[in-house]
Amino acid sequence: MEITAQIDRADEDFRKEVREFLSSRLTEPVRDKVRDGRPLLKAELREWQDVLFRRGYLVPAWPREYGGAGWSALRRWIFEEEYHSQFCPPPHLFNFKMIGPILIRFGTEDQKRYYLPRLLSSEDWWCQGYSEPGAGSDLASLQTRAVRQDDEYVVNGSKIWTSFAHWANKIFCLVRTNSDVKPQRGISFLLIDLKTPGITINPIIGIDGRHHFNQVFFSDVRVPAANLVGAENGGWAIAKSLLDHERLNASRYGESLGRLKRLKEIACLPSPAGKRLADEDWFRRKLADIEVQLLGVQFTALRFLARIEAGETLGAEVSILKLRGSEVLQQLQALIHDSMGLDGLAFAKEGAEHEIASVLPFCVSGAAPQRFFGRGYTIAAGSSEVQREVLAKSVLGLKDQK
Amino acid sequence: MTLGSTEEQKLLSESAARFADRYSQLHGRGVTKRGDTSVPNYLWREMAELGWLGIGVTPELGGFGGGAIETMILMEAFGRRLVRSPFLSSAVIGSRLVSALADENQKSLLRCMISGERIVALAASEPNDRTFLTTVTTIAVSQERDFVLSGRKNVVLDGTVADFFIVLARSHGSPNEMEGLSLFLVPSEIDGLEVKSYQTYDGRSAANIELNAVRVGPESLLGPLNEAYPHVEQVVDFAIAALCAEAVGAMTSAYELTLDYVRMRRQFGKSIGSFQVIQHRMVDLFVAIEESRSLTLAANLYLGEEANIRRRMVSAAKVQIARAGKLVGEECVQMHGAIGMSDDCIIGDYFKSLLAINALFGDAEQHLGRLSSLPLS
Repeated sequence: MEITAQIDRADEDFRKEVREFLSSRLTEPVRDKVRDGRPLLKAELREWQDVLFRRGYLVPAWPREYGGAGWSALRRWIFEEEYHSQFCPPPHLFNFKMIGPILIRFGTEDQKRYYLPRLLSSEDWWCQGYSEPGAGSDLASLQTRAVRQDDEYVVNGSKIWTSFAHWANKIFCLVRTNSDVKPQRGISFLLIDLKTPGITINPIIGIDGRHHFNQVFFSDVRVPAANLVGAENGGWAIAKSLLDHERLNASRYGESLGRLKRLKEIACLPSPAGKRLADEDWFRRKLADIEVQLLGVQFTALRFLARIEAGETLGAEVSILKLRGSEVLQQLQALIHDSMGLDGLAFAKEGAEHEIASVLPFCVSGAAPQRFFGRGYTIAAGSSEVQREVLAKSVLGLKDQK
Repeated sequence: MTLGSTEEQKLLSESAARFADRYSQLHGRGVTKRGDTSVPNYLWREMAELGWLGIGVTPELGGFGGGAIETMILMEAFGRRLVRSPFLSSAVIGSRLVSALADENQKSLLRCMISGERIVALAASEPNDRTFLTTVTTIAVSQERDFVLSGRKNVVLDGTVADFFIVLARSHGSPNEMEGLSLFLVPSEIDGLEVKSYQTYDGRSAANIELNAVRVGPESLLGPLNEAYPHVEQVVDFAIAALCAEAVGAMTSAYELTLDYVRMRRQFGKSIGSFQVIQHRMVDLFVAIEESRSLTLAANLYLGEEANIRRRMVSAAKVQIARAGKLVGEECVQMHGAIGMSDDCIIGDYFKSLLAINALFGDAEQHLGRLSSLPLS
């Protein structure tokens, strides 16, 4: 798409530099896995993160003194475009877009000094303990308790939908430290080592047939009080604090761009039946329809970005990007899958995708699981219904009445 | 980045809003009612004095020197207050065609257009034209040095008040070819030309035009013989980008009126805006309008780019505007309930305006088709 290139040609050199670095360093097996929606091994992702780290591309959006690149918002956007157009795997979200920025803003000097280098080097691998069996969209109702005993917290309860807990050695959790106040006011933000006695991790196989989620159980888990981030009972504000530029990522625009590129590749493949998908009217109209929507997401994000560049602070209206961006990505995933026709029925077990590729050469082996997993994009991180609530209350100013 | 606005653009936007407010106070809703279609002369003169009628024309040719973004700003303000005037016909389409294609003699017309003394309308669409500009049967036959024009043009915007028509006619080839088309600058008072005026359901002034062997001299040919299509296509893209801005204005007003209404209207003991079903539907309108605003801005930003980029952005905006316009228009009427069914309630005017914009210069389906035919990458 690269439409933004025309907005300021002066950034063209930067785009080229990013493109050249990424395409020369990304190995073919990793690229192919991302391109076809197949899962990476942890070792592959870790190796790629090291490549990015050495170049200064791992956490470009962080403040400069912590390893950030000091790019303008536009350059960060261009970077995202190039990154996903080259089919690079996204760095581990919870390390670099979640706990890292949170520690930089709310952590003590000791916490920053200890944790930041370890997570940048991928020595620590974090997961997020927010959702609970009884606390999904209504996250503030969470019940995992942390009771202070001298200089420790004793944690009991359970977290669920914990992505990649089975890869992780650390978890950042929202825990209840006060039950006698408004739910949001009794929540604290706690860092927990997953090797602490009393923690059990059970796998949950997802709708895509893959092991992505887990349930984590805490039974009398003793956590040093020094692992509290921010003030006791001040965890809700920390969990909700995302920087404006981080909120633009909720559009999943980069991922959609990657999916769009893959879709166009698939459309141009020669077909045994003679007619390429690219020559089918129904396909072209469907593709055009999604492209219109993606352009809508792109230019809405760029309008927000221009406001950030102008020094403005964004409000709750950014929820538009999460709401619409997740829907557009889902449509792209569905069209990739649909484009395979009957071949799309074939399903590969995790790690055995190559078997399908040898039987059905036109089948994108990760398309079906990716489509199934993508349904979660409108459920996780604030469901579409929650986004509409946020917009209705905070932007439109419509209030409930008893 | 040029996504923000400059100081000048902010001032233009304020001045356009003031004008549109005054227009609607002075002219009320008469404009969208039967029988009162043209902008009053003093308001048209005011638009000329503000320099707006030369907005797309370079200062060397006596214009305001603004670009697509300035046009967008004006059109959005007009859309918000349902301003009806020949601005789109004469100051966007007409003046762009004339300034791009006119020879030295024809350029004198441009000055009169900028001053508001002359109104020029594009006569391109033909009867039963479900797809815009794909069929041209009006013919131009060479006779000695002259041309003789015959055919019919339908729904010529501002055809009622036009002093000149820019007539798209086939000077070569067969009806569905893009080649062989030419433009002619034809005075409205000429033998053989008949204008049948009417009003559109959203208060636009329009006319059907019959050309019965209208004989014009060689000086009427505007631009190159047989090669008018790319010029018309380009100027129509400018018009679409402008029209999208008008739609954004109309959608915004309809949405704001409806937001006020659902807050105020009480049923079952509370305001209907406190019901979640209404809240979420209002959010969907808000989102659709923001995306329309984004794509309208994009279309206007890329008008000067290479043809396929321009086509892509303009058609994407037109598809978005059509869908959002239908959604916003219909939902706003629905949420007004029975009062929305009354001709006294202005919400219906916005609904109609948005539907009409969908129909003009190719509807959503046609533009989706145009997008589908562009190169894949």
